[in-house]
Amino acid sequence: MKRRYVLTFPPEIVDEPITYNLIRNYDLKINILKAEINPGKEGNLLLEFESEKANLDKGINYLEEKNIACLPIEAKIRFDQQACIHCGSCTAVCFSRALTMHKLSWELIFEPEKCVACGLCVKACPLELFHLDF
Amino acid sequence: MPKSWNATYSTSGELSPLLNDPELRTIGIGTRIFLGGAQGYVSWNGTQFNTSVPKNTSGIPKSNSATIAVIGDLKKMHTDFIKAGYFEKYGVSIFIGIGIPIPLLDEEMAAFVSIQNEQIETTVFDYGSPEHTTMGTTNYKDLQSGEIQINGKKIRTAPLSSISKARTIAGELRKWISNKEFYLTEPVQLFPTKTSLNKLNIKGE
Ligand code: SF4
Ligand code: SF4
Repeated sequence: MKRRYVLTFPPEIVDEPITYNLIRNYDLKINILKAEINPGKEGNLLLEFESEKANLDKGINYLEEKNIACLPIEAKIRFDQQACIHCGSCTAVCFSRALTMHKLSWELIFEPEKCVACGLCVKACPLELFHLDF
Repeated sequence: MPKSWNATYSTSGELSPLLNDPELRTIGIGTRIFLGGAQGYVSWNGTQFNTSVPKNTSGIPKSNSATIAVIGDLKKMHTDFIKAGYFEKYGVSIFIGIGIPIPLLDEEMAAFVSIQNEQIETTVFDYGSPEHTTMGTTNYKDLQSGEIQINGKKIRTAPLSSISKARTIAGELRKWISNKEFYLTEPVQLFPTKTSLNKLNIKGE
């Protein structure tokens, strides 16, 4: 299965080869989608994991032991769906197609599993309904 | 958008009242309308009102044309149909739901209201260039398909007006009318015809 997670690294750990360990020790297929690693400061990494559920769970355990917060992407991007007026402005900027319009109902479809945390929708939504924590 | 990355469009196309009465035979000053969830009125022609825009074979103007100014009681409106908005690099704006009943007076009006998205043509402008260069033409069927072709290039499209809200408004207005809560009005005065816009010429540079 494929899942996207945002890893948040505490400042003291940024020089450890975490991704390498995940691949080598837990046989995880990893695709890095966005990274923000600053030595001496907190870092963020958006990863897509492709693996067996058991291995993924072990990998996540390892991250937690290392004090690295590991949250699914949908926990990092908040969207106030109730307030959405389905205007479609955000679909113009979402190039990963996580935001699209339903072709019959013309309502907004948000598929966080396709999100790459680019943040463009945050500015594009005229009602400011998106909040990205990255 | 710069380098033709995407194209946005407004109005709900075939559901847009002004495109269903392109000769403005039933919409005029005094027309009672659905405004932000309450009843309101058309008070005047709107900004950049221009009835000299060439029309296509279906009688639909080929670019921005008629606009309306409206008036209503804000306290009776509902937040489902009126929202403040902010557009990056543009400024504050408002989303307001408007529905206009169009009486089918005769065959001509029946033909006008049966307009389809493919009959509504419009011009594509490049708002990324300072002169807003014209890039070509398209129609609402293609715009709503999610992709248009401009000079052989595929461009993604996205709406700016809510089509799902437009449908809700049309349904609400229909309910009001059949429950006799809303009465159709004849315009007190029709809008002027053959108006056009004057450019502001900047002199002495
Ligand atoms: S952050 Fe980027 S990818 Fe994610 S939903 Fe917003 S625009 Fe789409
Ligand atoms: S831009 Fe905002 S209000 Fe419009 S469809 Fe997207 S999330 Fe909804």
